[in-house]
Amino acid sequence: MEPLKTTEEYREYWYRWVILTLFVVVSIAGGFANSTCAPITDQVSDIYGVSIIWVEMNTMVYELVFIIAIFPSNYITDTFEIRVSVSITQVNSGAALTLVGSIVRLGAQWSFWPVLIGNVFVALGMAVASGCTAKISAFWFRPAWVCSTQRTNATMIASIANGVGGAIGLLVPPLFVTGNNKSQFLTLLLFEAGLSVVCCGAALIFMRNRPPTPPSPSGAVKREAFVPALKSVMTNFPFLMTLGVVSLSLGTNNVFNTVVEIVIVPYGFNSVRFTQTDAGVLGGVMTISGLLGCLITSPIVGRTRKYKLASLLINIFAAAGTFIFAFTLYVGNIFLSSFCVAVIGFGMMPISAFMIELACEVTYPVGEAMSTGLLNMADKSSASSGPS
Amino acid sequence: VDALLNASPLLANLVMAVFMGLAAIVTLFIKEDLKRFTSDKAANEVSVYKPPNTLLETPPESPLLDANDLKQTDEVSINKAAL
Repeated sequence: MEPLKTTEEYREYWYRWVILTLFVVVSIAGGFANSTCAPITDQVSDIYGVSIIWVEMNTMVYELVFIIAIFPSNYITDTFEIRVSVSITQVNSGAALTLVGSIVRLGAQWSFWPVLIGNVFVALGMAVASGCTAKISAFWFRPAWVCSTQRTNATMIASIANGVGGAIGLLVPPLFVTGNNKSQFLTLLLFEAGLSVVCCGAALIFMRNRPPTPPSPSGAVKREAFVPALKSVMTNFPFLMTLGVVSLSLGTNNVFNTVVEIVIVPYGFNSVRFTQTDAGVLGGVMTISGLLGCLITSPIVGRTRKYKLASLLINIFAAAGTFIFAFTLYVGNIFLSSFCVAVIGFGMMPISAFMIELACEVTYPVGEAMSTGLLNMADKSSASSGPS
Repeated sequence: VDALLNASPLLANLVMAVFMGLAAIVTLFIKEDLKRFTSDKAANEVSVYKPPNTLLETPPESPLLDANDLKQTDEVSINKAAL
Protein backbone atom coordinates (compact mmCIF):
# COMPACT_ATOMS: atom_id res chain seq x y z
CA MET A 1 0.00 0.00 0.00
CA GLU A 2 1.73 3.10 -1.21
CA PRO A 3 0.07 6.49 -1.06
CA LEU A 4 -0.02 8.40 -4.31
CA LYS A 5 0.98 11.55 -2.51
CA THR A 6 1.67 12.53 1.04
CA THR A 7 -1.20 14.63 2.22
CA GLU A 8 -3.27 14.87 5.34
CA GLU A 9 -5.99 16.89 3.72
CA TYR A 10 -9.00 14.78 2.91
CA ARG A 11 -12.00 16.51 1.48
CA GLU A 12 -14.96 16.07 -0.80
CA TYR A 13 -15.72 18.27 -3.78
CA TRP A 14 -19.17 19.27 -5.01
CA TYR A 15 -18.06 18.06 -8.44
CA ARG A 16 -18.43 14.48 -7.16
CA TRP A 17 -22.16 14.75 -7.84
CA VAL A 18 -21.45 15.74 -11.44
CA ILE A 19 -19.16 12.70 -11.81
CA LEU A 20 -21.79 10.39 -10.31
CA THR A 21 -24.54 11.88 -12.47
CA LEU A 22 -22.45 11.42 -15.62
CA PHE A 23 -21.78 7.79 -14.75
CA VAL A 24 -25.47 7.23 -14.05
CA VAL A 25 -26.65 8.72 -17.34
CA VAL A 26 -24.08 6.68 -19.30
CA SER A 27 -25.26 3.50 -17.51
CA ILE A 28 -28.92 4.35 -18.13
CA ALA A 29 -28.23 5.03 -21.82
CA GLY A 30 -26.40 1.69 -22.09
CA GLY A 31 -29.09 -0.27 -20.26
CA PHE A 32 -31.79 1.38 -22.36
CA ALA A 33 -29.99 0.57 -25.62
CA ASN A 34 -29.39 -3.07 -24.66
CA SER A 35 -33.06 -3.71 -23.82
CA THR A 36 -34.45 -1.96 -26.87
CA CYS A 37 -35.43 -5.02 -28.89
CA ALA A 38 -36.67 -7.12 -25.95
CA PRO A 39 -40.26 -5.81 -25.77
CA ILE A 40 -40.66 -5.54 -29.59
CA THR A 41 -39.02 -8.81 -30.63
CA ASP A 42 -41.90 -9.94 -32.86
CA GLN A 43 -42.17 -6.61 -34.66
CA VAL A 44 -38.41 -6.39 -35.37
CA SER A 45 -38.41 -10.00 -36.56
CA ASP A 46 -41.25 -9.24 -38.98
CA ILE A 47 -39.79 -5.93 -40.21
CA TYR A 48 -36.45 -7.46 -41.23
CA GLY A 49 -37.55 -11.03 -41.85
CA VAL A 50 -34.98 -12.48 -39.46
CA SER A 51 -35.40 -15.27 -36.96
CA ILE A 52 -36.62 -14.33 -33.46
CA ILE A 53 -33.48 -15.83 -31.96
CA TRP A 54 -31.36 -13.21 -33.76
CA VAL A 55 -33.54 -10.43 -32.39
CA GLU A 56 -33.28 -11.91 -28.89
CA MET A 57 -29.51 -11.99 -29.37
CA ASN A 58 -29.59 -8.18 -29.06
CA THR A 59 -30.38 -8.60 -25.38
CA MET A 60 -28.42 -11.81 -24.78
CA VAL A 61 -25.28 -10.34 -26.32
CA TYR A 62 -25.09 -8.00 -23.35
CA GLU A 63 -24.51 -10.84 -20.91
CA LEU A 64 -22.20 -12.74 -23.26
CA VAL A 65 -20.00 -9.74 -24.09
CA PHE A 66 -20.00 -8.69 -20.46
CA ILE A 67 -18.64 -12.05 -19.30
CA ILE A 68 -15.99 -12.14 -22.04
CA ALA A 69 -14.92 -8.50 -21.82
CA ILE A 70 -14.76 -7.95 -18.10
CA PHE A 71 -11.26 -9.40 -17.60
CA PRO A 72 -9.53 -7.70 -20.55
CA SER A 73 -11.13 -4.35 -19.70
CA ASN A 74 -10.09 -4.66 -16.06
CA TYR A 75 -6.57 -5.64 -17.09
CA ILE A 76 -6.20 -2.64 -19.38
CA THR A 77 -7.62 -0.13 -16.94
CA ASP A 78 -5.79 -1.48 -13.90
CA THR A 79 -2.50 -1.63 -15.80
CA PHE A 80 -2.88 1.97 -16.96
CA GLU A 81 -3.99 3.10 -13.55
CA ILE A 82 -0.67 2.13 -12.00
CA ARG A 83 0.89 5.08 -13.77
CA VAL A 84 -1.75 7.62 -14.52
CA SER A 85 -4.69 6.89 -12.21
CA VAL A 86 -7.32 6.91 -14.90
CA SER A 87 -10.51 5.69 -13.30
CA ILE A 88 -12.34 8.23 -15.38
CA THR A 89 -10.85 6.96 -18.62
CA GLN A 90 -12.75 3.78 -17.93
CA VAL A 91 -16.06 5.66 -17.88
CA ASN A 92 -15.03 7.66 -20.93
CA SER A 93 -14.14 4.50 -22.85
CA GLY A 94 -17.50 3.01 -21.87
CA ALA A 95 -19.29 6.18 -22.93
CA ALA A 96 -17.43 6.30 -26.25
CA LEU A 97 -18.25 2.66 -27.04
CA THR A 98 -21.91 3.19 -26.12
CA LEU A 99 -22.02 6.26 -28.33
CA VAL A 100 -20.42 4.42 -31.27
CA GLY A 101 -22.81 1.49 -30.80
CA SER A 102 -25.87 3.75 -30.81
CA ILE A 103 -24.73 5.41 -34.02
CA VAL A 104 -23.86 2.09 -35.73
CA ARG A 105 -27.40 0.91 -35.00
CA LEU A 106 -28.74 3.63 -37.28
CA GLY A 107 -27.61 1.36 -40.13
CA ALA A 108 -30.93 -0.39 -39.45
CA GLN A 109 -32.20 1.72 -42.30
CA TRP A 110 -30.58 -0.80 -44.66
CA SER A 111 -30.32 -4.04 -42.67
CA PHE A 112 -30.94 -5.70 -39.30
CA TRP A 113 -27.29 -6.59 -38.68
CA PRO A 114 -26.01 -3.09 -37.80
CA VAL A 115 -28.44 -3.22 -34.86
CA LEU A 116 -26.78 -6.35 -33.54
CA ILE A 117 -23.24 -5.07 -34.19
CA GLY A 118 -24.12 -1.76 -32.54
CA ASN A 119 -25.44 -3.60 -29.49
CA VAL A 120 -22.12 -5.47 -29.22
CA PHE A 121 -20.39 -2.08 -28.95
CA VAL A 122 -22.91 -0.89 -26.36
CA ALA A 123 -22.45 -4.10 -24.34
CA LEU A 124 -18.69 -3.68 -24.52
CA GLY A 125 -19.07 -0.11 -23.30
CA MET A 126 -21.16 -1.22 -20.34
CA ALA A 127 -18.68 -3.97 -19.46
CA VAL A 128 -15.86 -1.42 -19.43
CA ALA A 129 -17.78 1.22 -17.48
CA SER A 130 -19.28 -1.17 -14.92
CA GLY A 131 -15.94 -1.51 -13.14
CA CYS A 132 -16.28 2.10 -12.03
CA THR A 133 -19.38 1.44 -9.91
CA ALA A 134 -17.39 1.30 -6.68
CA LYS A 135 -14.36 3.14 -8.01
CA ILE A 136 -16.12 6.48 -8.30
CA SER A 137 -17.52 6.22 -4.79
CA ALA A 138 -14.08 5.26 -3.41
CA PHE A 139 -12.21 8.06 -5.19
CA TRP A 140 -14.77 10.84 -4.75
CA PHE A 141 -16.91 10.08 -1.68
CA ARG A 142 -16.12 9.86 2.02
CA PRO A 143 -16.61 6.68 4.01
CA ALA A 144 -18.80 6.47 7.09
CA TRP A 145 -16.23 7.51 9.66
CA VAL A 146 -17.11 11.15 9.13
CA CYS A 147 -20.78 10.47 9.86
CA SER A 148 -21.46 10.31 6.14
CA THR A 149 -23.12 7.47 4.30
CA GLN A 150 -22.46 9.04 0.95
CA ARG A 151 -19.99 6.38 -0.22
CA THR A 152 -22.53 3.57 0.18
CA ASN A 153 -25.25 5.76 -1.28
CA ALA A 154 -23.06 6.58 -4.27
CA THR A 155 -22.34 2.89 -4.88
CA MET A 156 -26.05 2.20 -4.55
CA ILE A 157 -27.02 4.85 -7.10
CA ALA A 158 -24.30 3.75 -9.52
CA SER A 159 -25.15 0.05 -9.22
CA ILE A 160 -28.88 0.41 -9.95
CA ALA A 161 -28.48 2.86 -12.85
CA ASN A 162 -27.96 0.19 -15.50
CA GLY A 163 -31.00 -1.76 -14.26
CA VAL A 164 -33.12 1.38 -14.35
CA GLY A 165 -31.94 1.94 -17.93
CA GLY A 166 -32.96 -1.64 -18.73
CA ALA A 167 -36.41 -1.07 -17.21
CA ILE A 168 -36.84 2.10 -19.30
CA GLY A 169 -35.75 0.05 -22.31
CA LEU A 170 -38.64 -2.33 -21.67
CA LEU A 171 -41.22 0.42 -21.28
CA VAL A 172 -40.37 2.94 -24.01
CA PRO A 173 -39.92 0.92 -27.26
CA PRO A 174 -43.57 -0.28 -27.39
CA LEU A 175 -44.61 3.40 -27.28
CA PHE A 176 -42.65 4.05 -30.49
CA VAL A 177 -43.18 0.77 -32.35
CA THR A 178 -46.88 -0.02 -32.44
CA GLY A 179 -46.87 -2.25 -35.53
CA ASN A 180 -44.59 -3.80 -38.12
CA ASN A 181 -43.46 -0.38 -39.25
CA LYS A 182 -39.81 0.14 -40.13
CA SER A 183 -39.96 3.93 -39.90
CA GLN A 184 -41.24 3.68 -36.31
CA PHE A 185 -38.33 1.43 -35.41
CA LEU A 186 -35.87 3.81 -37.07
CA THR A 187 -37.40 6.72 -35.14
CA LEU A 188 -36.85 4.78 -31.93
CA LEU A 189 -33.20 4.11 -32.79
CA LEU A 190 -32.72 7.75 -33.75
CA PHE A 191 -34.21 8.84 -30.43
CA GLU A 192 -31.85 6.52 -28.55
CA ALA A 193 -28.86 7.67 -30.58
CA GLY A 194 -29.73 11.28 -29.72
CA LEU A 195 -30.00 10.32 -26.06
CA SER A 196 -26.59 8.61 -26.23
CA VAL A 197 -25.02 11.63 -27.92
CA VAL A 198 -26.25 13.85 -25.07
CA CYS A 199 -25.41 11.47 -22.19
CA CYS A 200 -22.16 9.99 -23.44
CA GLY A 201 -21.04 13.25 -25.04
CA ALA A 202 -21.50 15.00 -21.69
CA ALA A 203 -19.46 12.27 -20.00
CA LEU A 204 -16.67 12.61 -22.55
CA ILE A 205 -16.51 16.38 -21.99
CA PHE A 206 -17.18 16.82 -18.28
CA MET A 207 -15.68 13.69 -16.69
CA ARG A 208 -12.70 14.50 -14.54
CA ASN A 209 -9.81 12.50 -13.21
CA ARG A 210 -9.44 11.96 -9.47
CA PRO A 211 -10.12 14.99 -7.27
CA PRO A 212 -7.15 17.24 -6.36
CA THR A 213 -7.10 15.75 -2.86
CA PRO A 214 -8.63 12.39 -1.94
CA PRO A 215 -11.81 12.12 0.17
CA SER A 216 -10.18 9.61 2.52
CA PRO A 217 -6.83 7.89 3.11
CA SER A 218 -7.94 4.83 1.13
CA GLY A 219 -8.76 7.10 -1.80
CA ALA A 220 -5.08 8.03 -1.97
CA VAL A 221 -3.72 4.50 -1.82
CA LYS A 222 -2.30 3.00 -5.00
CA ARG A 223 -4.16 -0.20 -5.85
CA GLU A 224 -2.52 -3.54 -6.65
CA ALA A 225 -1.60 -4.44 -10.23
CA PHE A 226 -3.91 -6.75 -12.19
CA VAL A 227 -2.20 -10.15 -11.82
CA PRO A 228 -1.31 -9.88 -8.10
CA ALA A 229 -4.80 -8.49 -7.50
CA LEU A 230 -6.39 -11.44 -9.29
CA LYS A 231 -4.33 -13.90 -7.27
CA SER A 232 -5.19 -12.03 -4.11
CA VAL A 233 -8.96 -12.08 -4.65
CA MET A 234 -8.98 -15.70 -5.78
CA THR A 235 -7.40 -16.76 -2.49
CA ASN A 236 -9.52 -14.44 -0.39
CA PHE A 237 -12.11 -16.64 1.35
CA PRO A 238 -14.53 -13.86 2.40
CA PHE A 239 -14.51 -12.55 -1.17
CA LEU A 240 -15.17 -16.02 -2.61
CA MET A 241 -18.12 -16.38 -0.24
CA THR A 242 -19.40 -12.96 -1.34
CA LEU A 243 -19.07 -14.15 -4.92
CA GLY A 244 -21.12 -17.23 -4.02
CA VAL A 245 -23.87 -15.12 -2.45
CA VAL A 246 -24.07 -12.87 -5.51
CA SER A 247 -24.22 -15.86 -7.88
CA LEU A 248 -26.96 -17.53 -5.89
CA SER A 249 -29.15 -14.63 -4.88
CA LEU A 250 -28.79 -12.08 -7.66
CA GLY A 251 -28.53 -14.74 -10.35
CA THR A 252 -31.69 -16.41 -9.07
CA ASN A 253 -33.42 -13.06 -8.80
CA ASN A 254 -32.57 -12.26 -12.42
CA VAL A 255 -34.01 -15.59 -13.48
CA PHE A 256 -37.12 -14.95 -11.34
CA ASN A 257 -37.66 -11.59 -13.06
CA THR A 258 -37.38 -13.28 -16.44
CA VAL A 259 -39.68 -16.21 -15.79
CA VAL A 260 -42.32 -14.58 -13.59
CA GLU A 261 -44.70 -14.32 -16.55
CA ILE A 262 -44.20 -17.96 -17.54
CA VAL A 263 -44.67 -19.01 -13.93
CA ILE A 264 -47.88 -17.13 -13.16
CA VAL A 265 -49.90 -17.33 -16.39
CA PRO A 266 -51.00 -21.00 -16.00
CA TYR A 267 -52.41 -20.24 -12.55
CA GLY A 268 -55.37 -18.32 -11.21
CA PHE A 269 -58.50 -18.55 -9.11
CA ASN A 270 -61.26 -20.70 -10.60
CA SER A 271 -61.74 -19.43 -14.15
CA VAL A 272 -59.96 -16.12 -13.49
CA ARG A 273 -56.39 -16.69 -14.58
CA PHE A 274 -53.36 -14.47 -14.29
CA THR A 275 -52.60 -12.55 -17.46
CA GLN A 276 -49.55 -10.89 -19.02
CA THR A 277 -50.85 -7.59 -17.60
CA ASP A 278 -50.62 -9.10 -14.12
CA ALA A 279 -47.03 -10.07 -14.88
CA GLY A 280 -46.38 -6.45 -15.82
CA VAL A 281 -47.97 -5.31 -12.54
CA LEU A 282 -45.74 -7.70 -10.57
CA GLY A 283 -42.66 -6.40 -12.41
CA GLY A 284 -43.65 -2.82 -11.64
CA VAL A 285 -44.27 -3.64 -7.96
CA MET A 286 -40.87 -5.30 -7.77
CA THR A 287 -39.11 -2.28 -9.26
CA ILE A 288 -40.89 0.25 -7.04
CA SER A 289 -40.34 -1.76 -3.86
CA GLY A 290 -36.69 -2.21 -4.90
CA LEU A 291 -36.19 1.54 -5.24
CA LEU A 292 -37.92 1.99 -1.87
CA GLY A 293 -35.57 -0.64 -0.42
CA CYS A 294 -32.57 1.29 -1.73
CA LEU A 295 -33.83 4.53 -0.17
CA ILE A 296 -34.47 2.94 3.22
CA THR A 297 -31.65 0.42 3.63
CA SER A 298 -28.74 2.28 2.05
CA PRO A 299 -28.36 4.95 4.78
CA ILE A 300 -28.80 2.33 7.53
CA VAL A 301 -26.24 -0.13 6.17
CA GLY A 302 -23.93 2.71 5.14
CA ARG A 303 -23.86 3.98 8.72
CA THR A 304 -23.75 0.65 10.55
CA ARG A 305 -21.64 -1.23 7.95
CA LYS A 306 -23.56 -4.44 8.75
CA TYR A 307 -23.25 -5.80 5.23
CA LYS A 308 -23.34 -9.41 6.34
CA LEU A 309 -26.44 -8.99 8.48
CA ALA A 310 -28.16 -7.09 5.67
CA SER A 311 -27.34 -9.82 3.16
CA LEU A 312 -28.53 -12.53 5.55
CA LEU A 313 -31.87 -10.84 6.26
CA ILE A 314 -32.46 -9.95 2.61
CA ASN A 315 -31.80 -13.50 1.43
CA ILE A 316 -33.96 -15.05 4.16
CA PHE A 317 -36.87 -12.74 3.31
CA ALA A 318 -36.34 -13.25 -0.43
CA ALA A 319 -36.32 -17.03 -0.02
CA ALA A 320 -39.47 -16.88 2.12
CA GLY A 321 -41.08 -14.49 -0.36
CA THR A 322 -40.29 -16.74 -3.33
CA PHE A 323 -41.48 -19.83 -1.47
CA ILE A 324 -44.80 -18.27 -0.38
CA PHE A 325 -45.24 -16.68 -3.82
CA ALA A 326 -45.42 -20.15 -5.36
CA PHE A 327 -48.45 -21.00 -3.22
CA THR A 328 -50.19 -17.64 -3.63
CA LEU A 329 -50.54 -18.57 -7.31
CA TYR A 330 -53.18 -21.13 -6.31
CA VAL A 331 -55.14 -18.44 -4.48
CA GLY A 332 -55.13 -16.29 -7.60
CA ASN A 333 -55.02 -13.03 -5.66
CA ILE A 334 -52.86 -10.43 -7.37
CA PHE A 335 -52.47 -8.41 -4.15
CA LEU A 336 -51.13 -11.36 -2.20
CA SER A 337 -48.71 -12.26 -5.00
CA SER A 338 -47.69 -8.60 -5.29
CA PHE A 339 -46.87 -8.48 -1.60
CA CYS A 340 -44.51 -11.45 -1.93
CA VAL A 341 -42.87 -9.93 -5.00
CA ALA A 342 -42.53 -6.60 -3.14
CA VAL A 343 -40.68 -8.38 -0.32
CA ILE A 344 -38.29 -9.97 -2.83
CA GLY A 345 -37.70 -6.71 -4.71
CA PHE A 346 -37.24 -4.65 -1.54
CA GLY A 347 -34.02 -6.45 -0.71
CA MET A 348 -32.78 -7.68 -4.06
CA MET A 349 -32.21 -4.26 -5.61
CA PRO A 350 -30.01 -2.85 -2.82
CA ILE A 351 -28.15 -6.10 -2.10
CA SER A 352 -26.02 -5.64 -5.21
CA ALA A 353 -24.54 -2.41 -3.84
CA PHE A 354 -23.99 -3.93 -0.39
CA MET A 355 -22.12 -6.89 -1.85
CA ILE A 356 -19.98 -4.60 -4.01
CA GLU A 357 -19.07 -2.50 -0.97
CA LEU A 358 -18.36 -5.60 1.12
CA ALA A 359 -16.18 -7.06 -1.64
CA CYS A 360 -14.19 -3.81 -1.83
CA GLU A 361 -13.74 -3.88 1.95
CA VAL A 362 -12.53 -7.48 2.26
CA THR A 363 -10.22 -7.30 -0.76
CA TYR A 364 -8.63 -3.90 0.00
CA PRO A 365 -6.10 -2.75 -1.34
CA VAL A 366 -7.13 -4.63 -4.48
CA GLY A 367 -8.67 -2.20 -6.97
CA GLU A 368 -12.42 -1.72 -6.84
CA ALA A 369 -12.75 -2.54 -10.55
CA MET A 370 -11.39 -6.06 -9.99
CA SER A 371 -13.80 -7.05 -7.21
CA THR A 372 -16.78 -5.28 -8.79
CA GLY A 373 -16.02 -6.81 -12.18
CA LEU A 374 -15.87 -10.33 -10.78
CA LEU A 375 -19.13 -9.85 -8.89
CA ASN A 376 -20.83 -8.53 -12.01
CA MET A 377 -19.46 -11.45 -14.00
CA ALA A 378 -20.81 -13.94 -11.46
CA ASP A 379 -24.18 -12.21 -11.52
CA LYS A 380 -24.38 -12.26 -15.32
CA SER A 381 -23.13 -15.87 -15.56
CA SER A 382 -25.82 -17.05 -13.16
CA ALA A 383 -28.48 -15.07 -14.99
CA SER A 384 -27.37 -16.68 -18.28
CA SER A 385 -28.47 -20.05 -16.90
CA GLY A 386 -32.03 -18.77 -17.11
CA PRO A 387 -34.42 -19.59 -19.93
CA SER A 388 -33.54 -18.48 -23.43
CA VAL B 1 -34.34 -23.53 -15.74
CA ASP B 2 -35.90 -24.21 -19.13
CA ALA B 3 -36.23 -27.88 -18.25
CA LEU B 4 -37.76 -27.07 -14.87
CA LEU B 5 -40.20 -24.60 -16.36
CA ASN B 6 -41.35 -27.16 -18.86
CA ALA B 7 -41.83 -29.74 -16.11
CA SER B 8 -43.60 -27.47 -13.65
CA PRO B 9 -43.48 -23.68 -13.25
CA LEU B 10 -44.33 -24.14 -9.59
CA LEU B 11 -41.38 -26.47 -9.07
CA ALA B 12 -39.10 -23.97 -10.83
CA ASN B 13 -40.29 -21.32 -8.41
CA LEU B 14 -39.58 -23.54 -5.40
CA VAL B 15 -36.10 -24.33 -6.71
CA MET B 16 -35.44 -20.58 -6.94
CA ALA B 17 -36.53 -20.23 -3.31
CA VAL B 18 -34.05 -22.96 -2.36
CA PHE B 19 -31.23 -21.12 -4.17
CA MET B 20 -32.02 -17.93 -2.27
CA GLY B 21 -32.03 -19.89 0.97
CA LEU B 22 -28.62 -21.27 0.03
CA ALA B 23 -27.43 -17.71 -0.50
CA ALA B 24 -28.49 -16.94 3.08
CA ILE B 25 -26.50 -19.96 4.34
CA VAL B 26 -23.41 -18.97 2.34
CA THR B 27 -23.68 -15.47 3.82
CA LEU B 28 -22.99 -16.98 7.24
CA PHE B 29 -19.51 -17.99 6.06
CA ILE B 30 -18.51 -14.45 5.11
CA LYS B 31 -16.01 -12.95 7.49
CA GLU B 32 -16.84 -9.26 7.67
CA ASP B 33 -13.27 -7.99 7.59
CA LEU B 34 -13.66 -4.30 6.77
CA LYS B 35 -10.04 -3.62 5.82
CA ARG B 36 -10.67 -0.43 3.88
CA PHE B 37 -12.84 1.07 6.58
CA THR B 38 -10.38 0.14 9.33
CA SER B 39 -7.51 1.61 7.35
CA ASP B 40 -9.42 4.82 6.73
CA LYS B 41 -10.43 5.15 10.33
CA ALA B 42 -6.95 4.52 11.68
CA ALA B 43 -5.35 6.98 9.26
CA ASN B 44 -8.00 9.55 10.06
CA GLU B 45 -7.45 9.27 13.81
CA VAL B 46 -3.71 9.71 13.39
CA SER B 47 -4.01 12.70 11.07
CA VAL B 48 -6.78 14.52 12.91
CA TYR B 49 -6.78 13.71 16.60
CA LYS B 50 -3.13 13.27 17.50
CA PRO B 51 -1.40 16.46 18.65
CA PRO B 52 1.73 17.56 16.79
CA ASN B 53 5.28 16.90 18.00
CA THR B 54 4.55 13.45 19.34
CA LEU B 55 6.32 10.21 18.54
CA LEU B 56 3.65 9.46 15.92
CA GLU B 57 4.84 12.36 13.84
CA THR B 58 7.36 11.39 11.20
CA PRO B 59 10.88 12.20 12.52
CA PRO B 60 13.12 14.39 10.38
CA GLU B 61 15.17 12.32 7.99
CA SER B 62 18.89 12.18 8.62
CA PRO B 63 21.38 10.07 6.68
CA LEU B 64 23.59 9.79 9.74
CA LEU B 65 21.04 8.91 12.38
CA ASP B 66 18.29 6.28 12.41
CA ALA B 67 15.96 4.80 15.00
CA ASN B 68 18.55 2.24 16.18
CA ASP B 69 21.10 4.99 16.72
CA LEU B 70 18.64 6.87 18.87
CA LYS B 71 17.91 3.77 20.91
CA GLN B 72 21.59 3.05 21.43
CA THR B 73 22.25 6.66 22.42
CA ASP B 74 19.49 6.47 25.02
CA GLU B 75 20.83 3.22 26.43
CA VAL B 76 24.34 4.68 26.67
CA SER B 77 23.09 7.74 28.50
CA ILE B 78 21.16 5.56 30.95
CA ASN B 79 24.24 3.45 31.59
CA LYS B 80 26.28 6.57 32.16
CA ALA B 81 23.73 7.82 34.65
CA ALA B 82 23.81 4.50 36.45
CA LEU B 83 27.58 4.67 36.69
